[in-house]
Amino acid sequence: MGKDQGRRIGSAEELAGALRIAAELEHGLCCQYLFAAFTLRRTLEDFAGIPAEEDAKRHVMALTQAWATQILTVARQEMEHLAIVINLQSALGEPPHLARPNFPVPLGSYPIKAHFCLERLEGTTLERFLFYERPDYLAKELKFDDPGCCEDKAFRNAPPLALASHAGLSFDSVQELYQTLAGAYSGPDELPAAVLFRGSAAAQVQSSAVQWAQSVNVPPVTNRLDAIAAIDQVTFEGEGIGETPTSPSSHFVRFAEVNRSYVELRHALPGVDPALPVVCNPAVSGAAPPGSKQITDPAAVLAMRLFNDGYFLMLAMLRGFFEGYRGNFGTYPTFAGAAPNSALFLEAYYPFMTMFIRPLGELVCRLPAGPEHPGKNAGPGFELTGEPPGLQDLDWYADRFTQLDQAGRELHVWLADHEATYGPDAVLAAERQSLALQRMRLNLPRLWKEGVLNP
Amino acid sequence: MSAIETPRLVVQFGGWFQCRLPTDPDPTWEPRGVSGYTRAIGRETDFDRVICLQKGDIPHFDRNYRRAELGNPANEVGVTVKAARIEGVLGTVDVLRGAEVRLLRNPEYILWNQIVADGVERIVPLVAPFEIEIRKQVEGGEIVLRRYDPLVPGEIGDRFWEVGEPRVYVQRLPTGYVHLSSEVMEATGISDFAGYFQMRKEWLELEITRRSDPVEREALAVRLRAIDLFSQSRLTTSPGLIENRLGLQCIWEHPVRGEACVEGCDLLGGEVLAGGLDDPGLYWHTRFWHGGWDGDLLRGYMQGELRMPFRVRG
Repeated sequence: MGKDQGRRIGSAEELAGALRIAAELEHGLCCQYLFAAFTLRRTLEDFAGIPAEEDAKRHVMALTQAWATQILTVARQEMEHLAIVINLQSALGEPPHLARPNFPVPLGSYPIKAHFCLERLEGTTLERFLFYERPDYLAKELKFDDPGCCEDKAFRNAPPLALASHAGLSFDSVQELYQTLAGAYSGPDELPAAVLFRGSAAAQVQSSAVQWAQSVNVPPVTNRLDAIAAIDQVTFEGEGIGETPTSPSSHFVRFAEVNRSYVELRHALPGVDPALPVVCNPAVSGAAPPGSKQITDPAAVLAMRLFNDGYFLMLAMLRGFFEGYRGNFGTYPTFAGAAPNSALFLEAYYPFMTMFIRPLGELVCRLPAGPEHPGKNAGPGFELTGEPPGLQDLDWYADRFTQLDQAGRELHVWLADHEATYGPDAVLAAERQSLALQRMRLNLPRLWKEGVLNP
Repeated sequence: MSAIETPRLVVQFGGWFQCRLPTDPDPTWEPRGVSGYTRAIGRETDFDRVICLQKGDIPHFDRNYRRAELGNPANEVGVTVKAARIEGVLGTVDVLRGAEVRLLRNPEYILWNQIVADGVERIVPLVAPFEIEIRKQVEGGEIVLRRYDPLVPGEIGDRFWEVGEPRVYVQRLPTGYVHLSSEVMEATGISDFAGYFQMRKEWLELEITRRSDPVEREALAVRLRAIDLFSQSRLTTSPGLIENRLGLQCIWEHPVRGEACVEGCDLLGGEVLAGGLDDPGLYWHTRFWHGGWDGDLLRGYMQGELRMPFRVRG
């Protein structure tokens, strides 16, 4: 397929494929951004062993605090973009696509010319992020000769994955992908409305209807104008398209600011690394792809498996929420009578991302990787074993919460028994994680059956 | 004497408190603040989340006590007794005026990002553990009125993470939540929220130029940026998040049922009574609110009362 042909979506099947790519990109970008943010040194304890004055460390902490704010804001918006893509999928009558290839994803697997890597925050990482989010008008200015994940030369030339979602599309940037998508909804190549909106309008999730946090804006998509507006929102928030030169709050501008600050710091204090020595593309799964680094430290392995299982459950809850949603979310503030939608949303969205993914991801980045990686730390692998299932019954989710609760307790016990090796901070973090999981497990049946308690 | 006939010593208190805590969507145990609107800055220690009603109780006070422009009432932390009286008795119990009020056992707001008190778009935390103390050194001795309330009497106690049914401790959850409370504005004297933080920003700008220590300058700059960021609102007619919190009011009202310590009652002209968990007639009762939250100073206002069964001497 030629490039121009590749930019045109000619059928519902091609649109479905393009939306699956968009979902994988948004999802994959979110994981990479989270990973990088988790690796930042943000407390004095994170600088243990680094020979520098305390004031210098505190200066770096102020910077990493600001960088983490920016990066996590972008990651949160990638989640919003994923939700927008899911609404577009739903309008088309397609299920949410929440699977994605495990890291690292070789160059060429997606049309954009960059690897997808889990790597700690460093110069190359930020250059990669800028490349992902660049507006097209800067394409010639912003060259990125991808060195491979974490400059792993061996992986640099790894063969691309044959992704089922690829759909034969050609695009050089995320912006171009969305422009291609927009062409299916409006213009000379637009597809018939009866195809684009054959899904149930009641299944469209609207952020205001489900009390999503104010900073997340997910609009419903029920007609061509809605679809174009939703796509424009993604490129406005991402690449800054729609304002000249670009929106000051775009992902690109946010990363540009972080990059400038990072470069200045490295010049001013070359001896103080602002990121923890986290290995590239850490993995514990036996089926981890080439280029990943197997983690062997027993505590890190327990924590990473817990992370992967929880991440999978979170995606399953999100998929169940989106698939089951039919406009019925119950009545504020209890949302009673709207189960399982409200229960899954209120478990997956409100506490799970903030009280599981982030704190456990940060804890893993502070555990050793194992003797094969001397001086290096582990990291959350975001490893998936397949597409999370659609809507299940309460027992399915409850069983997995029970397993997570058990695994959380085991991690805590292991770290407590080996406190001399891992330190008191890791023990405390694991204990808190375990308590949160314990309570979340207990919450689910009540939320499912009764909704939110209205005190 | 029945519970109904027992008069009550009613102690009213108010003042500013400090609580250094992260805010959603930061996780509960985030050490320095990233995604929410609060930040630990400069040489401050990591967030401790403890509700401190007295200046002297603030851990690492010299590093963790922020200041605002001169004349700002929140510059001074200290919740004290404003008035006391005995129901059915003329006059006031002046000896208690100025007594220090404390919440002991390092209490925190327990919300755990909606895991524990699952309000949506509302802030409805537990305050746990809960042990209130009124203490004053006076001529001839010391008055101490202290009592603890277990979240769930018995085995569970304050281990709220073991409870899947919040109705078990529903009485400890807030009974009211107001976004823009006139009662708060009256108590704090702050009603122009935008103007309040505009003054803060101008003061911070000035203060930055006065400092030579780079860590302090950077810390002040972080405060300034946070106010800037969270003063913005998508809707120009409504206040930003940090401004909105100045009008917040969260109200608790519950009995205080656990072990008590009462000293110096002679100075009160009677006896404060306290029984066990199985003696509801001798429970103490409190109603209080926290509000007027200044997310830059990490301070809020507390106002309320404690009612205790009282046996008048003679």
